[in-house]
Parts: sequence; structure tokens; C-alpha cells
Amino acid sequence: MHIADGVLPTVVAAGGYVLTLAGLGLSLRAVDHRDLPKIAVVTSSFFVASLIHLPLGPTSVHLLLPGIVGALLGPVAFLSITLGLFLQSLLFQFGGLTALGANAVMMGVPALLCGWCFRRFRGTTRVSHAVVGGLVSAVGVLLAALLLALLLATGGDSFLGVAKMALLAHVPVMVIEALVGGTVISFIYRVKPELLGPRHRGARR
Amino acid sequence: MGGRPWRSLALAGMVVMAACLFPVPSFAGEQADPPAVTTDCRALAVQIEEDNRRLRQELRQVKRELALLNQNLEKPGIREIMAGIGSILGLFGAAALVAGRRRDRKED
Repeated sequence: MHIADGVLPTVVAAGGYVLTLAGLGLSLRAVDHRDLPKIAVVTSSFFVASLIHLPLGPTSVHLLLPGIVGALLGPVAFLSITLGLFLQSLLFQFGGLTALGANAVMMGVPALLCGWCFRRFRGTTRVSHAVVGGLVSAVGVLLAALLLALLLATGGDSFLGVAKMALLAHVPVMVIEALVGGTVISFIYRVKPELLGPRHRGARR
Repeated sequence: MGGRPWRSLALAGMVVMAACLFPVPSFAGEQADPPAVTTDCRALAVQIEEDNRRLRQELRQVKRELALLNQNLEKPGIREIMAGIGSILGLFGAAALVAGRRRDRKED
């Protein structure tokens, strides 16, 4: 789910870049230097996940992971996603460089929302972590598909048609991401729960 | 006139060499028999049609292989994946280095 070059009107592409710069600014302010290794690993995973294709009839869709990235990184997710998308467009020719802003908004905004929801509703037990993690992973894909439809609607496509198609194509991705997200988050909660959120002030050295 | 036999011998030698270098067409024609070509037009047409069919089949196979190759070339390979992961780790490594240095300076 990448928007290619020349699909969006110039104004929308430029607007996407402006929003991306704002998001990057917010993300960079939220970076804690002790989290840099975690951010690097999550960014690498996001970068590679788009290569995992699920065959779907004549076409194929790939994993997106905005929900999991948001849940793991919180506000820094926008930086991670923008960097991942930039390298994907450079190395894999996924999405165009002129549409990078729009692509980053399409994936980054759901990630931020999912991150906030996860931190707000994750509860204190392993089961609640797994359930909320799976839910935000699925909702991340859903929001990204809706934003894709919204962005393509500015280029003249009908919003409902594209939204219906994108959502239908991504139902299997939502199911798989929900499973992956729930598993990953419950595993991290069991082995290293401090990875899942901001540390308490008292725990800082 | 003692030179005359030598001259005729040299002439004979030159003739032999010329014969070796430039074979007379009639000799060459005798050595390589032309393939048996059917002169019947209908048989010729059938043969050409047969050849065309075979070539079309081979061409189709080559086109299929070319399409497969193109498809494989479009897929990002292990090199691109490693380059991306390396860039990400390198960037964050550099950021960690800068952050660490800044913290050290503050502590000093």
C-alpha cells in the first residue's frame, strides 16, 4: 500500500510533506537517546515487513505494521515510519519520492493514534496487553486503508470505491497483523515489559 | 641462357602457390556438394511453414523466460535489504554516538 509518483495532485503531495515535517519534529523531540537501539530495530522490522507478501487472488498485499510500530515506539513511531518508507522508496522502488510525504502521513498518523490508544488502554495483565496489541494492530491497517482512500480521492478517484477495495484487500492483512501484534506484544510484556512504554520517572538514572 | 630453367621452375612454383591460395571455383564446387534443395514450390512452402512454427515456439519460450527474468529483477534482493537495514542501524548508531558524546560533555 504505497502511493506512487504522479498519482496525487501536487498540492496534496506538498501538504503531505508539510505534515510529515511537523510529525518528524514532534517525533524527534520525543526521542530518548536510551531508546535509540529499540527504535533502530523496530524501524528495520518495519522496513523489511513490506517484503512479506500475502498472495490474494491475482494480486498480493504485504504486511504494513503501523499499529505494532506505534504500540512499541509511541510518539517516535512517525520518525521510524518516515525513515523506513524513505529507504523503501529508494531501495525497493515502493512508492515514489514525491509521494513520500503522503505515504508517511498515511502510515504515520495511524501509528501515532494506535500508539496512544495502546498506552491508554493496555491494562496491566498479559492477556489485556495481547488483546489491545492485536486490536491496535488491526485498527492501524484499517486507518491506513481509509487514509489511502482519502488521499486517492483528492486525485479524482471516488472515495467509497477506493476505500471499499483497499479495505477488502487488507482484511487478511488485518487478521494476520492482529495475530502478529498480539503475539509480539504479549511476548515482550512477558520478557521485557519496559520496552512497551515510557519508563517511570523514578526508574531513570 | 643458364637462368632459363630456374626461371621456369620459379614460375611453376608461383603457379602452384597461387592455385593453393586461390582455389579454382570449379574445384571448390566439386568438393562441397550443395544440400539437396527441393525445387517443388509446394514442398518449399510446407518446409518454410514448419520452420516458422518451430521458430515461433522458440520465440515464445524466450519471451516467457525474459518476462520471468524481468519479474525477478524487479524484486528487491538480499543486497537491497541488507543495505536498508545497514543504513538504519548506522544512522541510529551515529545518533547514539552523538547523544553519548553530548552527555559526556555535560558530565564533564
